Amino acid sequence: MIRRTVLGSAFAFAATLLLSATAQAQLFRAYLASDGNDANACTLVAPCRLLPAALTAVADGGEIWMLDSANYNTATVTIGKSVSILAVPGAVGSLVALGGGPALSITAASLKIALRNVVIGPVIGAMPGTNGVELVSASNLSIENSVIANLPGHGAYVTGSGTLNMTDTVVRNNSGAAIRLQETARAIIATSKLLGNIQGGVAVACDVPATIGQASISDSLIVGYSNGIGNGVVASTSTDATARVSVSRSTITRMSSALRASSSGGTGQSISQVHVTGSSIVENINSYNQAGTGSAIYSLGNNLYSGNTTSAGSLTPMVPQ
Amino acid sequence: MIRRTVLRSAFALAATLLLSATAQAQLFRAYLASDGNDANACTLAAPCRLLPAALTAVASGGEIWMLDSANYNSATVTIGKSVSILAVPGAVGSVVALGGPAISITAAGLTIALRNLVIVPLPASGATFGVYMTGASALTIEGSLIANLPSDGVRAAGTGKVEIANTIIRNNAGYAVWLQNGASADISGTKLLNNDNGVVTFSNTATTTTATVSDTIISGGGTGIYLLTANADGVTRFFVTRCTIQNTNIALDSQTTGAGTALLAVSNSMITNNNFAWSQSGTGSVIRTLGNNHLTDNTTNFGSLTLSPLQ
Repeated sequence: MIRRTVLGSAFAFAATLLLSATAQAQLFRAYLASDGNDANACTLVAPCRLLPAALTAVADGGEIWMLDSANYNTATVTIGKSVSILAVPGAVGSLVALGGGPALSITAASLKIALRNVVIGPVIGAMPGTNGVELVSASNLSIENSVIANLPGHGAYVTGSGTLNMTDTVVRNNSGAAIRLQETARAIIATSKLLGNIQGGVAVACDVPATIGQASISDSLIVGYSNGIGNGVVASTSTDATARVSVSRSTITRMSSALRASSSGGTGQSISQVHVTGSSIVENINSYNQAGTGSAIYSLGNNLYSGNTTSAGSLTPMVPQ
Repeated sequence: MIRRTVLRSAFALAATLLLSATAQAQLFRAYLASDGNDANACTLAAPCRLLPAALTAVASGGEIWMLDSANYNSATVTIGKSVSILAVPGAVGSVVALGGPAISITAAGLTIALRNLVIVPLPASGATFGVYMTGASALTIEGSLIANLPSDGVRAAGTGKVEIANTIIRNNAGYAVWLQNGASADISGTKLLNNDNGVVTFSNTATTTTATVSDTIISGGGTGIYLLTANADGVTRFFVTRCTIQNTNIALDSQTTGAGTALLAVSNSMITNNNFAWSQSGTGSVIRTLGNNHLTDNTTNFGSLTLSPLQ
């Protein structure tokens, strides 16, 4: 346990804030810096160096600030409390995935976690990591104004009733999907760019009976790795489960299939649905690719389909209201 | 409460400025910094530390600049003059809520802007709202974050006017934005995520409360858009354009308690994965749709939609 010395702080104001914060004597704000030290108290005047030390020092509901440009982890970081982790604007707050795991992992339930202005990538030369961020529990994760790139796995992977809110973020050049959701996961993706991910943009795959997974994508851009590789958005089930994707005011281009709904297995309740409105579906191999009983791709009649090579299955008109 | 000691300032100039009660002797720009001192004059060379000192030093119509990343208050800040408060780009300008709202506006006739601020509560400190406006003033919130509060992110009660642009309001245990009894708001390019509720216009007096929301994402919670008129002469109106509303119990809720007006109109929006797509109830309530909205994967609805022609 890190012993804090807040009363000795030169900042009387900081002491005031911290005293009012505590029963646990943990920090409302814990600080990291490139010249920090994990033996420090993670205060502004004595910042820590790595994220795990700050996570120990910070109070539930608090914040961790990365004060300057540096990398702030050396192994998978498991976040076990509600916290906002941010690099101050102008700094690169780097977190890396290595050692066969993700950069960040969330396994506890009922947390509210935010990542702001962080950059998540791999370490070349180290044992490869997997995904950028993994959320496998019923917690709520917001990723804002961040970059997740070049990873061997998915940019973000969510399962187990987790909810992901992604806004103003770039997810690019990952070997997996930009975002993969399984079972009862949910994602809200807005004003983000999902670029050149080999397994495509957003995949909702529900392969456990009776689960419902869903994603909605608004005001975003999804671009393929190269024509014919990866799908833009996918709703798929291989059992009696439900997978749904809704797309609004977005562009999907240079994909194998821009819109993909696939149902198989189960006993007739394998439901996969994609809805699309106000969007551009251009320069793909398949504009849409619908396969299996229970699958459907609905189009509101206000989308642009152009420059695509072909399509498979059918597109179902949807009545606007 | 930090006690100011301006009269003991080493800066004779500062003393001169502050002793003068006139607007002309106050600063057009007052400065704050993490190494500032409230005994200073709040100038660029000698910045202050906390917002109340800068608010005293700044002239009406002036600006307060937060020069680096820090927290800039230690209690509710009541803004009593027209002012723009901003963190310079690249800095986190933090204002915390403790023992009440982070920022309170009770006076009328002011024009106030908040830019690039981060407003969060100090945990277990008796925090309430992020920004609370009861005065008939005009407030703009731009490029900011309002998160994790135990109540509403922004609450305006009275005849004030709120503009919110390019802001994130999330994880608050109240409404993202609460507008009551004569308040009006225009919200654009904003993300309202995982709050207990989205935006409400509420008239329980003979007042007109209105909002427009455009190019905005609303996700999670009990209601996305909520109009409640609880007075026979009360009016609520709400216009939603190019928005996405999802994962709520009721995406669109227009309600009167039996009289008055509650008018909600929706165009070019996606309403998906909600329990109720809409709920329209009470004499005088209506939900108009323009026939260009995407309503899918909602479980059910209540009452009726009224289709309005495109013009």
